[in-house]
Amino acid sequence: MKTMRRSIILAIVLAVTAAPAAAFAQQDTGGRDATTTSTVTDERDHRLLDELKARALQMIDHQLDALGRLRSAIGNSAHITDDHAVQLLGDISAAAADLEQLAREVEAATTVPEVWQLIRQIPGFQIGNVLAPKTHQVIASDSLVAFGGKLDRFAAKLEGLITRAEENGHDVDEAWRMLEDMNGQIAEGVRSADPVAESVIGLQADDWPDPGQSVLGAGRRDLHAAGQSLRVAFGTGKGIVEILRNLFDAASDV
Amino acid sequence: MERRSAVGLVTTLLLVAACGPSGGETAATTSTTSPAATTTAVITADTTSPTVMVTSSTTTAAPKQEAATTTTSPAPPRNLDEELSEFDDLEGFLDELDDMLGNL
Repeated sequence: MKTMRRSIILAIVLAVTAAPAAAFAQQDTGGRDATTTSTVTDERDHRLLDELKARALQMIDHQLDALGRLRSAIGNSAHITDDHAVQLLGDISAAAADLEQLAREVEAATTVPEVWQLIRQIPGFQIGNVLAPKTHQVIASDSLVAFGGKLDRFAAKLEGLITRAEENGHDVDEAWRMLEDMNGQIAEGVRSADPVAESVIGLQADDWPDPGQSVLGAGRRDLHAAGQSLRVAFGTGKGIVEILRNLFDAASDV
Repeated sequence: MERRSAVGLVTTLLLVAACGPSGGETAATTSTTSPAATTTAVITADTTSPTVMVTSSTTTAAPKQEAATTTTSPAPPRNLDEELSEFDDLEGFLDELDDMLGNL
C-alpha cells in the first residue's frame, strides 16, 4: 500500500514536470523557425534592392550615353550656329547634372519603394522625346540654311557663265529660265528650313506632350520639305551646267 | 600755205572717217597724226556704245572694218569643271543632309 502511494506521487510529479518541459521544448523549436524565416526575407529584400538599384543606375547611364551622343552631334556639325550650339549644350549639361544627382540618390536609397520612386523620375527628363529630336532638328535646320547659301553662290556663278555664253552669241533662254526656277527653289527651301531651329530650341521636358509633340512634328515636316526643295534646286543647277557644257563644247569644236 | 591746207584736209578726212561710217559701231580709234580727230572719235564711240571694251588702234583712220577687229568679247571658259570646282562638295553636302533628315 505504501509502495503504491509512492508510485502515484511519483507519477503526479512526473506529470507536473514533464508537461511544461514538453511545452517549453515545443516553444523553443517554433522560435528557431521564425528566426530562420526572418533572415531569409531580409536577404531576399536586400538582393531585390541591389538589383533594383543596379537597374536604375543602368537606366540613368543609358540616358547619359544619349546625352553624350547629342554632344558629339553638335560638336561634329560644321554648320550649326554658335548661339544654337551654346543653347543646346546648356540644356544637355543641365539634364546630365540632374541625372547624375538622381544616380547619387539611387545609390543612397535604403528601401525598394524609395528606388522605385527614383526610377519613375527618369522618363520625366524626356530626353528621347524632346531633347534629342530638338537637337537634331536644330542641326538640320542650320545645315539646310548653310546648304541654301552655298546653292545661292552656285546660282550666282551660273548666272555669270550664262551671261558669258549669251555675250558669245549663244541661245541661253532655257538656261535663264532654269536659273530663275533654281533661285525660287533655293528661296523656298531656306524659307522652310530657317524658322525650325528657333521654333524648337526652346522646348523643354515639361513641354511634352503638348506643345512639344506638335511643334516637333511640324519642324520635321518643314525640314523634309526644305530638303526636297533644295535637292530640286541643286538638280536644276546641274541641268544648267549641262546646257553650258554643251554650248561651250560646241563653240570650242568650231 | 599749202601745208596748212593739206593739214586741214587730212583733219577733215579723219573726222569724216571717224564719225561717218563707223558712227554706230563698237570701237574707239586713236590717230598718230591728229590729236583733234582722236578726241572726237573717242567721244563718238563712248556715246554710242558704252558697254564695249575699248582698245587702241594704230591706224590713222577708223573705218568700220577696223572697228570690228578691235572689239573684244568675253571668251567662253576654258574648263567649265575648273570654273565650278568650288562647288564640288555640294553633292556630298546633300548626301549628308539626306542622312540627317533620315534620322529626324
